[in-house]
Amino acid sequence: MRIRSRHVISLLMALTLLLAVLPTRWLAWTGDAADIVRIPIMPLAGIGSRVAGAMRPVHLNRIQSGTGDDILHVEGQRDRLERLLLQEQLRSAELESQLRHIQGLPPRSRSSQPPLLIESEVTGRRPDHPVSGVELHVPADATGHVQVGDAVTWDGRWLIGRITRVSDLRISALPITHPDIGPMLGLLLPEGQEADVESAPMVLLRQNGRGQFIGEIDRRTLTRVGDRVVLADRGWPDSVQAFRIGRVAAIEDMDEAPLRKRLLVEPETQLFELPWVVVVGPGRSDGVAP
Amino acid sequence: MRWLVFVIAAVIVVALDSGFSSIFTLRAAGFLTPSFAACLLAFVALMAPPATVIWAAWFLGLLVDLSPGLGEAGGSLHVIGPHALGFPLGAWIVLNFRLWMFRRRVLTIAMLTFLCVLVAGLVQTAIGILRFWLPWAGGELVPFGAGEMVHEAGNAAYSALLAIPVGWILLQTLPLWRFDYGTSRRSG
Repeated sequence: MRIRSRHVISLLMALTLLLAVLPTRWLAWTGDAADIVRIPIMPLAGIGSRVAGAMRPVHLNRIQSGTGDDILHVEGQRDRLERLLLQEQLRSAELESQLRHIQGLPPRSRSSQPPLLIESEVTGRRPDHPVSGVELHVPADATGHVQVGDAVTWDGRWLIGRITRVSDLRISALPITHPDIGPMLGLLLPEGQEADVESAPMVLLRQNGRGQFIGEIDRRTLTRVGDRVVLADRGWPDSVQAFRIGRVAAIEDMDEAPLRKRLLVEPETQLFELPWVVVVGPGRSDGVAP
Repeated sequence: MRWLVFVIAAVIVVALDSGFSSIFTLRAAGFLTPSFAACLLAFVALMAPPATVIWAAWFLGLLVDLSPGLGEAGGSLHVIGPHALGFPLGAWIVLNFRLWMFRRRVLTIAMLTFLCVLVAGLVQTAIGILRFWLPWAGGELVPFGAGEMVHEAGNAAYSALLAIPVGWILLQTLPLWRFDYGTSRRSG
């Protein structure tokens, strides 16, 4: 009996080793297996995540609006920015219609919808590595609206991840620093100065697998440690362009390319640190209004 | 061992690992995070019969591998093996050591938790390297180096610290588990 048990265990271990080295294309079933296995775990993990979020909130360098004057000041700035945004949208629509008229193109069949904003709770994470994926709760009003490729944001400013799988039970997301997300184009903006988007240098950011990005720029480009990097990549939804990706953490010389500099860009917050996130998807005709 | 008690305990510790453990994360020290699952593994590996220990370790490892974490890749694929192999290997090492240990001591659980996390980390590293180099595997896991091993050693030490209170709680629940000590002594 004991020998039989040993044989079964040896066989089990051999099968598990085989599973561990299976080609990626044969692992699609593991997502479904995870969905089923996580059914009893998700509610408990969600409670744990909420408790952890309440006991250890995320702190970022931000302006604290403590007094009434501060709130009035911030609200005034918000109204001004809203007006500027509206002006730019009107101007953009006007130029687009002129261009279409000149090129003889038909008018846009799909009117631009506002982006979908869906708040979702983080119910599962493993915070021992910055590129760990997370599991999100499927909100009742979001069924059918969240799609693979939608952006995961936080606090209306930070782009922190991308949806990689949507099922009836849960949503999976990876941080933007995960190598599977792929390279991203960013715009380098100086910190503490008014941004001049037209002259700001672009940088192609590649994930280094350690929760950071690596990019290369021309040596003559004026860049300092602490500069902001915002998204300027058409591979991402329009509604998340100009969201913040991170800050320049280090600038290094490149021996193999003396005319270029290597940038190390670090996100200011990690996906797994957050108790909840906002999923931003392109506007859909049957979508939920934000 | 009562399997029902183990399954409930496994669900709770995996939920704690994937929800609550972030409260303990040392962000300035390379995101070191303790593992509740390893505490349960060390406790069961000390008390249960050998064959049961390996099955329990495999089951617990499978739950951890199917949870969000480093083993998750694009498309929500989960690589099964880093823990489903690492935990049984860690448990097997505990089985070989436990004859010379005081099983009902919290410090024993803490020490063996360190061992289990370290061994699981080694297996995770080995599978990461294997998948990175195998031409068909896809290489979706991040390649590991010496820094990752130091990180795993840190996680192991931190988990051992956590095992002191968690191990004490588990020892209080000992009557619920109905461990067969006779079998474990004879065959361990």
